[in-house]
Amino acid sequence: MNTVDFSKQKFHPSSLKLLMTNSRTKSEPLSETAKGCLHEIYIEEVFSRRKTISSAAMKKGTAVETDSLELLQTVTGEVYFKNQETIENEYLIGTPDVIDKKNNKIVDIKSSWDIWSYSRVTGDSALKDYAWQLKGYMWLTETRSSQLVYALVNTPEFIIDDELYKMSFTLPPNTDMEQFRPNFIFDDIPSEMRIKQFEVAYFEEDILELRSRLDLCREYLSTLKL
Amino acid sequence: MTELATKQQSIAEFLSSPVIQKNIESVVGERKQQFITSVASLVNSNEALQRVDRKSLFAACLVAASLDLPINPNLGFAYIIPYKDQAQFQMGYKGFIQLAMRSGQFQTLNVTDVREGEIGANNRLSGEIEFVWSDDRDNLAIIGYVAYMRLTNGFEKSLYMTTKELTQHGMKFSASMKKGYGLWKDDFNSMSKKTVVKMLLSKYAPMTTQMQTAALADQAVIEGEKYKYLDNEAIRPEEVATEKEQARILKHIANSKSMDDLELCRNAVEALSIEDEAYKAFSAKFDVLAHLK
Repeated sequence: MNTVDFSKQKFHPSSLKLLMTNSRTKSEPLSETAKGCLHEIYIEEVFSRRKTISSAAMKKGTAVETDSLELLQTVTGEVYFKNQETIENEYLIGTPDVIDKKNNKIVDIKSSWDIWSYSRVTGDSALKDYAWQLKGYMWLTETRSSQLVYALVNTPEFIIDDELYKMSFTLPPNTDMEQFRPNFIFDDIPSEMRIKQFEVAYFEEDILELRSRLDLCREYLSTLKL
Repeated sequence: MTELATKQQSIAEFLSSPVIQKNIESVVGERKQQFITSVASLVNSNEALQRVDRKSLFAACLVAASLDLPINPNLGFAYIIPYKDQAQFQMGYKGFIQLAMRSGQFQTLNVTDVREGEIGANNRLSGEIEFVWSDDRDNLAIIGYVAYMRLTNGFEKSLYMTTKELTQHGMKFSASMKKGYGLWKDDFNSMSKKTVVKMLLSKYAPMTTQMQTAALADQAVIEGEKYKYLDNEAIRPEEVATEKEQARILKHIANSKSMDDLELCRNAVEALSIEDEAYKAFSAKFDVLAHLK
């Protein structure tokens, strides 16, 4: 068990989506979603237990990041390489996908699992899910513009094989599993149709809002018990 | 040719060091020279094995020697397989049969493929399958493999797996098969036979110490007393991502025609170790472009 001073707790930008959700009542500043997230942070910090969530989609997201950056390069001509540096400020700690220092911009790239999930991505859904994360990264990196990119790239063979293997148990014996392989491969679709880009603007007020919400989160964390 | 000769010599040098010689003697005794000859012959005939870590190569060969199984791949008893930069010990189905028969407890141990139409009755209660063997079977498709054993005390058992089950087994336990290469891909027949024999023995047979060692060491890289199953380790997406990004940076450096092009990957390169291939390539290209400028 660790003794933790939550008044200096730093948060990951990916958790901002949950922490910034609004409460249903004005009297309670933190939403139930945010509280749930804070409970997990509390357990991780104090008891060193982290919920492990691993899915095929997450594995793909990690494995194909370079493929997605390459596709973006093909479509837009913008050449980006994966940032490896973890950055922190007074409130946040994280590793943005791409920091474009020259253009004072960060890029966050999401690799869609399949054509169906990719087709459902709209500006509204994308920004609802990730705008706060990008604002957090802009704050963290002191950049003033950001871009959220969705890419539809091929799933690596080892993930396809895993998926087909798992699927084979749910299907009648002797089902030809290879018929499903094209569902994981997309390079027959024109490149420009496989990239969606959304801008997230920088506003000083957003940073003030983040700061104030994260102060509340720190206060809430210090009240938590097992 | 000269380079090859140097590598062969370095393996010979490795085997001739006093510590290794002592180690060989303690395992194979008088068969020391025979062992050295068989290792040298194996390595000379396989260029990929010349590049693997010599300790892992030596350990794998020593396990084969301790089981008294030849490592000549043409014989099919045991194999030494290069995997990444390590040597992996791999049992052949003939090796398992050999060890079992040596124990003196087996009257029969056999394995065969099963062709279309050769499955008769399938007793779900006892798990036993009756086979109706065809005489003219060469043109019939293989649908599975069965191993059968009868012990000297009369106990008998068989184990049957369909080709679909064997493919799934290979996919599950071999990363190289998932990636589309390796023994499962090149010699599905032998790997399938080995799998049903190994599973039959592991489940139902009295296992001698040698058979236990063989089962444990099969498909492992041997490090002292430890067996590491590299080919069975899950592929880590992070490693895949790092390898791809590294390749992309190298490609970008090679294609950079100006300092501006090159500078686009500076941050990515600076995050790497100075020993890294991309770091060195960046420095070299930087010098070339600076000179041109």
